[in-house]
Amino acid sequence: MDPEGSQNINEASQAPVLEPGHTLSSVTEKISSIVLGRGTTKGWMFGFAIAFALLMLLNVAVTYLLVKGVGIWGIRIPIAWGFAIVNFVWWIGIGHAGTLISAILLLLHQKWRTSINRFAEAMTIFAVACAGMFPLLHMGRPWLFFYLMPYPNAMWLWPQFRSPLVWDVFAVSTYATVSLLFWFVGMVPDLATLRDRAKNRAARIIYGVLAMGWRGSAVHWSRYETASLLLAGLATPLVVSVHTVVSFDFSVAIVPGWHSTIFPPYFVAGAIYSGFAMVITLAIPIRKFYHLEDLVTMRHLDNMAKVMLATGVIVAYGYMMETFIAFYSGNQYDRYMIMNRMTGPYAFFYWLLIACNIVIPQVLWSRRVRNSVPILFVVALIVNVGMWLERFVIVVVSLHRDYIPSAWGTYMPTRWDWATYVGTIGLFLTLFYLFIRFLPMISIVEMRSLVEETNEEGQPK
Amino acid sequence: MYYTDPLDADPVDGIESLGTLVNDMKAGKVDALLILGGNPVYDAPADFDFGPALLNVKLRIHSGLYYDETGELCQWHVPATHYLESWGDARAYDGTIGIIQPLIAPLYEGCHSAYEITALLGSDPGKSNHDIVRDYWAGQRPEKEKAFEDFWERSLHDGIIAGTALPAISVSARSDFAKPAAAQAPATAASSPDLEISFRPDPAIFDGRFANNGWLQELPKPNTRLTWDNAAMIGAGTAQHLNVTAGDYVKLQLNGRETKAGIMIVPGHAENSITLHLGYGRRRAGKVGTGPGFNANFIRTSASPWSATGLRVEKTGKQYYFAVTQHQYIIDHQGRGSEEASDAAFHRDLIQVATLEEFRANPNFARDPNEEATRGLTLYPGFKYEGYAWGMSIDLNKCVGCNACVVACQSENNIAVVGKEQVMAGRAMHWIRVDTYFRGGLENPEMYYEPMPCMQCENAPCEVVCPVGATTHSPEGLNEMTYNRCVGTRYCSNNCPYKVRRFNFFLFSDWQTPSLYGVRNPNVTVRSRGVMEKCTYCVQRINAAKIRSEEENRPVHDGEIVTACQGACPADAIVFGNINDPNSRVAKLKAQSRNYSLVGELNTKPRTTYLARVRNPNPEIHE
Repeated sequence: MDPEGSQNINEASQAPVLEPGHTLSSVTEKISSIVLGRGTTKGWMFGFAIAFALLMLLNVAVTYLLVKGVGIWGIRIPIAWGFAIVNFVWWIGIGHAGTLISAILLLLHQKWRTSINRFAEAMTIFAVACAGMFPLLHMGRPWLFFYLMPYPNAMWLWPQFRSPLVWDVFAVSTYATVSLLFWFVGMVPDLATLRDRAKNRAARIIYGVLAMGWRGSAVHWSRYETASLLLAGLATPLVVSVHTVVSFDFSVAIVPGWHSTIFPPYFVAGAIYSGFAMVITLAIPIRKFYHLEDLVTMRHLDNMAKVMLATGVIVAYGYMMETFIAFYSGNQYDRYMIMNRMTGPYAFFYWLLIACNIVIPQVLWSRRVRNSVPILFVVALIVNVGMWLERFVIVVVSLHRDYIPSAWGTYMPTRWDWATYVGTIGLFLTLFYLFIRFLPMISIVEMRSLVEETNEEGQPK
Repeated sequence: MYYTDPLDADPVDGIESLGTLVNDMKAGKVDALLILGGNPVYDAPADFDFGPALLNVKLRIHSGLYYDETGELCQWHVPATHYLESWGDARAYDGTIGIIQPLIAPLYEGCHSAYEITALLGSDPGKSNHDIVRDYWAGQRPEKEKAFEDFWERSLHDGIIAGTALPAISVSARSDFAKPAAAQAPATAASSPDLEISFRPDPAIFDGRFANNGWLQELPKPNTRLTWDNAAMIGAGTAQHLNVTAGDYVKLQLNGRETKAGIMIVPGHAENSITLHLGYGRRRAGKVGTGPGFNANFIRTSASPWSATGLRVEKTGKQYYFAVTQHQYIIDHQGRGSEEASDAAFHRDLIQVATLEEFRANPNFARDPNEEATRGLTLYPGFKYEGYAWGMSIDLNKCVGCNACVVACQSENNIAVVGKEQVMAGRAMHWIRVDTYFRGGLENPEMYYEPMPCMQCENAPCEVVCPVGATTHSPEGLNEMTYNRCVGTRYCSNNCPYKVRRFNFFLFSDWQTPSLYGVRNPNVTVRSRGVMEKCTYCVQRINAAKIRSEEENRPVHDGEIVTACQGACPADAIVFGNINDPNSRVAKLKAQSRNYSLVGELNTKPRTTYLARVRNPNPEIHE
């Protein structure tokens, strides 16, 4: 998709990626002053307090979990995976947008990515941190998590490499590591800028340490570019691999509703879908509260809405194929599974999922909707909910009625399920608040490289 | 067949004699009452008002296993020895006398048997239980001194006293015998508008004497799969007529007396009738037994101890929540529920059933063409089982759904009791369960029972998904759990098509109560929190037999290993053995045409297979 080549008379898609009138120093000043100049505002404190309170709720929920056991959740036989796995997949999916924006779009030379890539990457790392907690916490004996890792031991015991959960360990930990490195490496020149501009001695020292001696020499820049490209190259396959491997957790199993070859592409599309929804959800309030409308322009929102629409359509195709194959295959268990989803005890959630993920996002075909910030925000929120419901339907509704009817059961989340889930949202927001307060949320370096181009673009051709 | 005199030495009408006692107590004519066993304050007929009458007695002594409702009202409670801890004597059905010998010395000091307590009143108080029994027989027998010693030893060794069977006598039916029976029959069959209540001993805790036994409380009752409660069981039609639904908390009023109970709709229950099991609603039964269920004795009188008419049902507007293990069994407010699950079960060929004619026409009716097609569809060479290959065959023709296998398994394998709340949360721990399905409507359905232990699949779906290799395949085809390797991801349970894996969601095993230490099987690990567990085909028994056979340098004989469920099965429905030996009983059963696997088309190749049910209903009964 090349926005420059678009023939449509389209307000948003023709909007610049940086409003004209900015100079190199005005961009630097604008972004770094959020961290250095503004100080801690009341609005920030208010939001942070709420997020931190939720984080403490997580603290309580996890402590109680470790003391008592996973029985505090609503899981049971036959629904042995519940909210923990639903939330894991949901967070991991959200974590997809950051890498997609920073790696794939970098390789594709999509200039519009520059103003959103930093906080999209941050969002990825925080989402992966939230996601990573769940597989650990959901274990019956989480203190033995290292059994899943191949480490040398006296008994010569290895993990059981045929299990997709072991693949998960590698996929998720690799993804977390590469994303973190990518994020940090990209930030080094900006940290140096903050070091140089900071008035406060402690800030100078901390930013100085983090800048790792960056002086902006030509050699530094050359290595920086090479490292960024290499990491982008490393991260690109991960965008596809992580959610593919996560989908193997389901498609390798024999549970009707899980055992399906469509899962890998459909999970990856769903992940990008929810990831972009989350970026939009975060970008809209941030650009408003920090007056960044000239850096995160309508062009960005429009492009992200289009990516969301495209991936949403792929997800819809996935749902349709799942239903079609259930009947086409003639497999009575699959057929029952689909009918049970649509008409069984959890039918309401299935249809809510269809509404949230397929029906409502179709409004994004309209240019006017894409140009309306409030509607876009609401649609993004709805997609976030819809993608959570999708995972709920896949995990819980498939398990609750499988092969042997005598073992069917119903799942009800407990207050601790909710506390843990809401608590991880608290963790995510807390980290995000700290990020926008103490780190440059938009890449100063990359924005500066846009200044010249946009000033040229701003001239009548 | 032969007839003898009645075994009862002095047959009396128990209820009448209890009534006389109560009248005497009320009149203040009883100075001292010795209650040896029993719990009349709880279970005497309601019209006797036994409790208040008992308080009229000046000296009240109770001896029993539990300090129960009766013990509470007595000044003295003497802990009784269990019958496995005490000496005694008894007659068998043919009159043969046996000497009861203790299995173990009393676990607790200060316990006394009923003999010892009655001896207090006699000439030599303080005599031991053993001496009382021995001295009695020394007085009865002609042998003296040395000869008696021989007689005593021989009787203990044989378990019976030789030659004490009652002589056969000739009897003939009373000439007026047939008449009243014939006159009585139509009276009960006549459809009266009155609602009937039927009091039945509970299938698990009987009349309440076993109420403090957690295994029995948690044992799912036949047909209803109900645990930890009794219920006002009712047919679907009567429920509609009375305008009550499953889970309604109702008042049951009978002749001015009242008790409360939850309604449970049971397919096939007789219409116009309510069944209420005895033994529940105990006020003082112990840690486990106090509390659960509804006390049927509140409305049970001496005139009609087993069934009564004139019952009135009144809704309280409240709901009562039952803990059932086969969850969808509860018929919900629309009357659906069991039907969908049962329909699916038959649709999925989980229960294979044919009439005798169908079976004769097609003996292979249980064969699954899909399964045969998928068998061998693999790229990998099959594992070759040299030596033993353990397998099980369960005959659905024989299973009567009694649940004995469930308790036997629980006791053999140290399976934890989890309590009502956890059963409701879907966490009952039984390694074998008896699935119950219905066919043919709610009014008069056919019932089918299907015991479900682990299938020990040869291609076990649980094994491939375990990330740490905690569940693995043994060279003899067992699907084994390594508890200390398990980290509790529960992936194996999700991937088990039979859902026979059980997870320790909490620390379910009671590690604290000292009296439970002795209950446990020392050959089986007591599981801790956060690990998965499942049926192992009693691997501890398999290994014990293998060690024995290796010491004796011979193979394990067929039938030498008996799993706990198999040993307890009164119908011999469960057969276990080596399927590598074509002459073993299990291999022969599996070779029968009735043999089939559950969801075999998944290519799990279960080692536990079933023998299909063949029905032969009497054409006169069967419509």
